[in-house]
Amino acid sequence: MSVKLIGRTTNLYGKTLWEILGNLRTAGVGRLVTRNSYDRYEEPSFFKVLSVEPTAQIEDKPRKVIVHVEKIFRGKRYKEPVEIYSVSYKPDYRLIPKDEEQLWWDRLANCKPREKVVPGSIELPPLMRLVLERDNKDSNIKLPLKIRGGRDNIAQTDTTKTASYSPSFFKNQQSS
Amino acid sequence: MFALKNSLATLAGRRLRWARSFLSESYRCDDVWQERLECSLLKKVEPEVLYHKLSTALEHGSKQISAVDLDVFANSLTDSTYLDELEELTHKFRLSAQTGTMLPSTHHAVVRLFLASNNVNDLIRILKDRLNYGIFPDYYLCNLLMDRFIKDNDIRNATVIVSNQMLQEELDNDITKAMGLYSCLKYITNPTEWEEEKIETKETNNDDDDEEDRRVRVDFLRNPYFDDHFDLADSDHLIGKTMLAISSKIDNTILGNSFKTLGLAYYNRWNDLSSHLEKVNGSIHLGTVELAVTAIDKRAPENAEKLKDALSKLQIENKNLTDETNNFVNEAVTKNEETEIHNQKSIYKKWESFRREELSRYLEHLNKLKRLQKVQQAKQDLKEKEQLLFFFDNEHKHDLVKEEKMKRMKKTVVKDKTLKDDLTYVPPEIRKPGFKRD
Repeated sequence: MSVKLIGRTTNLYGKTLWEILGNLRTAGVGRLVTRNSYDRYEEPSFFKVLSVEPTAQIEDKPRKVIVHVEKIFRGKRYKEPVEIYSVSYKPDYRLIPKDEEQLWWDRLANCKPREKVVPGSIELPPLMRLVLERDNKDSNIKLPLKIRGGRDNIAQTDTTKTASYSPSFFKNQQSS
Repeated sequence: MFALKNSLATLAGRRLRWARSFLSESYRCDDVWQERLECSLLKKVEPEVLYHKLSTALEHGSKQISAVDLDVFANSLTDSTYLDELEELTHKFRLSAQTGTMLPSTHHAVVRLFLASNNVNDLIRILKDRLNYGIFPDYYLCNLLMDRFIKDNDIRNATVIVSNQMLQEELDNDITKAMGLYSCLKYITNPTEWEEEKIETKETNNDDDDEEDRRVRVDFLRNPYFDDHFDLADSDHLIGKTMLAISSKIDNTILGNSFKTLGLAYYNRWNDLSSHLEKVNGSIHLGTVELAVTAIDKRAPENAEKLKDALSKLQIENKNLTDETNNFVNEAVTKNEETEIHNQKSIYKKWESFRREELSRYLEHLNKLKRLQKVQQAKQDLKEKEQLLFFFDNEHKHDLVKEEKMKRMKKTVVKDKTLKDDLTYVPPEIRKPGFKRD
């Protein structure tokens, strides 16, 4: 009797974290692991396993593990160890062979830090400017732009530049 | 008569081959390993009682056992009576959350017990199924196992050990590398069936093909994926990758070249093989070319002719590959055997005290838990008593608490009612922006 599996499809391909670490002696501490979905970035992204704590296997479900890793994401090394638990079941991981490990560290060392410069302020919205002009008030005010705080947000402000409401700005906002 | 003579000759030959062993008797460190039983702790253990206790704990109690308990159970066994029980316990322990804490002596105890009771097939199955048993041999055990299998002329299992070690990418021990190469070479010169049960499973599959598909619900479908490492199942590929991995880690250039050629050929890396053959400087041993050509003939890649041409042009050192590998193993053994025996003996000695320490630590932990539980219980009792004795003093407070409770209960009840009974609810009409009605 052949078994046909029915379930949701995903775009992930690879192995779950347990399938990799459980196959290794000392649970792969010190080895490098990467996620296949990180291949979309040209900068190296990978994890160095620091400690592994498996959880109990529940029936036939993919087993989850609590893994503390040193995370390198898009060429940036995180200062604090990161815990992987809730995503450890995803079949998306790949082990980096020992002889390729040096290659990845070299890639990290040679990789240029990502840069993204955004304007520091924006002009007044068009309608508001019209209203101010009509009322004979100062319409040359610029509104400062704030950068959202986030671990992976590398954007930096360039205070000399000003963003404007050019036609492209409205491209996605207008309703047809 | 002739047949009898023939069989006698093969028997004699076999016995000769059986005697082939690289490591000396003292490498097994049997005397030191047996000394563990003299410890008062292991003497006291009754396997049956302990097994019963552990298995009930796993099934009904806390669903987990401590690594020390398993280690004590595994180490206390001396014969094949409790092999099944031991296998079951290691399997269940592997599935529990405690699996990360397994003591190193447990691995040794399990492997040595299976080996001593000659249960080789089960042992190989356990070692291959790493996810379900989690028994990993270290370098010392690998050498021990390979030596034993080579001695028993069971080359296939010796290659299983070394290919497992390749999957771990732990190939730094000289004896392991040399014996691994030797067993790989022996296996490819005289290949046997890699998996024994494969044929049976195929037959059962054919029988049931007519029946309807059984549908099984899963959360997510797995996309097909082959990682070229743990998923390798083909014996040629496994052995090829093993030879390739070891060849880059040995200092002997000619031997390294020969095994790199063989490894690439058996791992079916045809493009890498052709570029390696172009670049190779130095010679290879006699016999390498023939073996590589058999591998090429077996798979018949597109550039087979070109590869064979390149192979035939290689410089050939006038020494037999088998003999040289043999010498290589002997060299590695004479160089490292003494120190390894010495190291292993001290490790075994250390484990004895380590086990006792670990056990006392575990007992202390249990004691602590018990005491904490007692304190908790006492606290709870005192609280109840206090409530009983000072009820009328604190009546006002109790009333307040009660009122709160009643309020909360009422709120939830009302909520439920409104949801159920609100039949007048009409969902709002949703219009798309810019949509005009006629």
